[in-house]
Amino acid sequence: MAVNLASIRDLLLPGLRGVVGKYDQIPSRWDKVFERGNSNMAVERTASMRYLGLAQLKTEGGQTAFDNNAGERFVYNQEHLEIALGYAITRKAIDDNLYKTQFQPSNLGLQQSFAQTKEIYAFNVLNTATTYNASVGGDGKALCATDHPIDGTTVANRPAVDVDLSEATLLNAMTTIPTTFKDNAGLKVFARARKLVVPNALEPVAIRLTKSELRPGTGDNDVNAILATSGGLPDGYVVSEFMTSNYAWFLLTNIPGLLYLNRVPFEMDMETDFTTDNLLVKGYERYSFGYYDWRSIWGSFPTQ
Amino acid sequence: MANTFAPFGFSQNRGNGSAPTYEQRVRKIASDNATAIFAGDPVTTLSTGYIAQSSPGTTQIAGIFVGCKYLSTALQRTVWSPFWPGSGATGDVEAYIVNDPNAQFVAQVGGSSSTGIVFADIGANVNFAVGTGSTVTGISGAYVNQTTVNTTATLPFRIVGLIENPPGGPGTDSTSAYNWVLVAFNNVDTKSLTGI
Repeated sequence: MAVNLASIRDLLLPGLRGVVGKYDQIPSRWDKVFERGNSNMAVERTASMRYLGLAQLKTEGGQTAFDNNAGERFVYNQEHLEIALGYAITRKAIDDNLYKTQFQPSNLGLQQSFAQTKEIYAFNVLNTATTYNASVGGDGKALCATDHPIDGTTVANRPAVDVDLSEATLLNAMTTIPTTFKDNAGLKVFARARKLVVPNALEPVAIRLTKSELRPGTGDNDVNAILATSGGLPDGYVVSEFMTSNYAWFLLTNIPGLLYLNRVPFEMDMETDFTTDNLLVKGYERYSFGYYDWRSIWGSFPTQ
Repeated sequence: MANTFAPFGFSQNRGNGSAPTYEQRVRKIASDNATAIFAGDPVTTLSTGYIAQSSPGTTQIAGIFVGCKYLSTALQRTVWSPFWPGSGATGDVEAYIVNDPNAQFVAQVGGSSSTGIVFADIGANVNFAVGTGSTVTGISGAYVNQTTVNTTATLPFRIVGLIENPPGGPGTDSTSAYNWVLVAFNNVDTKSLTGI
């Protein structure tokens, strides 16, 4: 069924005070979480390499130890999604609509639909960060896990016991990231928390933690250590309406690893069907959200 | 600092007596060999001339597997892989092994959750356990089995040292379980006088 006269029955007569239903859209947040890139392939693959481990002690006259284990360890796949939406509207519904300015037959909000869909897919990466996605591959673990394998040990980017966002837990994460994040050979890397990502329910907590000059939640004059520990959180915090948990929170680090790839930018097209005179309008876009390095994020997933 | 148990097979680290060239020798795996072999696994010469993943015991080993290439039946092209998955090849698999009789390897100790290999064990022989290799990285899960330290002449490896530096590095706590050790071949094709 196309959008027909019955669908716009009150727009056929003069006298309506107004036509409502279209609202301001939520500004995009995905671009504050994901780095952006372009793609010209069906699947983009990122190889995670192992470089050299620690240098070894040499004894006098003894042989130099060799580390011949450099090489590929993991491959992360990112396959693009095809996103499309269309609608059909009859010729009479176009011709007889008296409120075309408010209810434009050629623009019923495809861009808004696509924009919000993109937000959902973006934050779905975080919402499902505790579930391993075999199509991504990588190290065989979920994006946020307590046991990411590297040579000789494992590394966590999630607390052993998921914790609520608070001054203590945030500081613990900010001090844990620099000391525990290692490359695939086991060398410590320069990793620092840079941005807090929270759902709307945690925004008041995020404000209190990141905006207070003095220690949050106390009556004394201690400085707020969050602002300076390991460089603080210079990129502030991001709130998303599309995070499905009211309790999960994330820290993005200075290490890139969350990636949006644009394969075909948003395009819109329309045509009039020869036999029915219906106007067909559709939009199309192709992209993907994914990740290629767990060191880009720290996540905690309390359930209450 | 306690050691984390994350075995990685036998990783060639140095030689003994002469400078190692880190040569890898070509052997063959039968394409119908359904047992996966991971980089760092000990391998054994079969009576057919092929090699296969070794089973812990007192049979001499052929060396340490470090990778392979084969014609993938599914992809119809040559595949280079750090491990033999146990299927998927058309024709023989070209396997690469380290069998330098002077080679020495770093390996993790396992088999006991309370005791590692200690200084007094240097000079003893020891067996290995196959563990579980990773089909993601292709790296072996083999480790030195602490419970098998003995003087038995036909055990495959000889303990030649402990890894204790740099302090705090992985596997360097030789006072606890799962430490890293340096081992050499003991019962290997290139040293044994016994044929296959």
